[in-house]
Amino acid sequence: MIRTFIEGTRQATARIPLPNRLLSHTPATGRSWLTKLRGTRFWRYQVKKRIAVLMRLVTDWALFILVVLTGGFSSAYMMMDGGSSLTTLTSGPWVMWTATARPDADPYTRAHHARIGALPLPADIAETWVARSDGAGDTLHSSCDYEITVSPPAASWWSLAVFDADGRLIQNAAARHVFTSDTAAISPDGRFVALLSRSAGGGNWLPTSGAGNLSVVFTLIDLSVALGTGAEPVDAAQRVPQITPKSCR
Amino acid sequence: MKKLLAQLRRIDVRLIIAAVFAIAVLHIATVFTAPSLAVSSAWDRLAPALKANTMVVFPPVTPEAQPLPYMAPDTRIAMCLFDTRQSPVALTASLPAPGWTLTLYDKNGLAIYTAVGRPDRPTAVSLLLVPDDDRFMGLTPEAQGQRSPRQNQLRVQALRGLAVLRAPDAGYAYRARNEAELSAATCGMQQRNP
Repeated sequence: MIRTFIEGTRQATARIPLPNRLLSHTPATGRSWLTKLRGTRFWRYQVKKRIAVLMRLVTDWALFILVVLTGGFSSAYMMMDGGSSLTTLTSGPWVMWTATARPDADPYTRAHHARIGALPLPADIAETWVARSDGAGDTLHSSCDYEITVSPPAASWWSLAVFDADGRLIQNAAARHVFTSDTAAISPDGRFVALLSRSAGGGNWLPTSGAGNLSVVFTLIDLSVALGTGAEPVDAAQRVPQITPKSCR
Repeated sequence: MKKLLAQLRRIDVRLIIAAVFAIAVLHIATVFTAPSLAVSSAWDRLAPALKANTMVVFPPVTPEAQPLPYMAPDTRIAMCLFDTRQSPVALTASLPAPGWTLTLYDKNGLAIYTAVGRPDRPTAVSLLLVPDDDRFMGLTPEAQGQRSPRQNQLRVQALRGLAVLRAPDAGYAYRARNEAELSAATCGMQQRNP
């Protein structure tokens, strides 16, 4: 690339003629001072022109490199961080990487999990859904209260956990960070309703303290699928929880 | 408008094609090298703290003791860093209830084996981890007239990795049982026959 750059510079500047005085080295004798002055001006003009061409070439290359670096890294980051329809399944605010921890996982899924440093359950046996926004599309934040309603399949084990934006557990006096199908208080209609709030609430309260942006993780092991009983998997939109914003401070 | 057209005419199409090509190359290179360049992968975080071929029961996950991001206290975990470079590794665990899982991960965090607990009966898992390029091709213990409780010989393509036994937190009443089941899981180098 450097060789191409030098060659391009040489070709571009070679087209600009230099004064004969500089090229032939013949002393300018018998000329008036006006002619000499004009020659100097012309020579300076030529040098300026050469520098201008050089600068334009350098600017073009710098711009090219900047565009390539920005485009290459940002597109890779976006695909690794948020995924795409090729690598993830989306249902409302919930996102699931469809090849999580599978041996045949695509490079984006591998890069995503290596980057965040988690060790999730493989997608063959479990669904791991992550939400960073509510049902209305606004970012989940600890200054707001949310109601999360879970309607899981019957034969399943699930958990609903809340983290800060970086996946760290949130410090709280109640030492409560997660509900599972074994520990949650289920409503008579079979649903599970959790309250995500920084201030204490009744029922299945998940404290968010002052964590800032939040991420909620819903893990589901559908035994009918995991054990290969041949049962028809339930539609993703029906199994993921609904996140409803209640109020904000 | 004329000015804009003139400026657009100045753009070299070959340069645009070259830029798109270079962006694609950089994109692919970044994605493929990201797993090996990640400095905080699960393996990098856990491997230094684990002794090879030893099952370790982790304490309950808390904000102060959270081994990995997005690891919640919904499960208790026992973990073994298996290393089959010296000899095959024997692994035993019991999955007594739904939600219990045993997963073997390679260094890149890809699951090479997974077992799930069933609702109707406990699942006993007994594995012999043998490197793919060093598998034993001779007679099995049964063929030699010896009784072997081992169920499967699992050929693993990874020489080293993590075996993770997860026990779902089913509430206070079940914690002692879970602790006992996790502690009963074993992971160790196979004793060679004389």
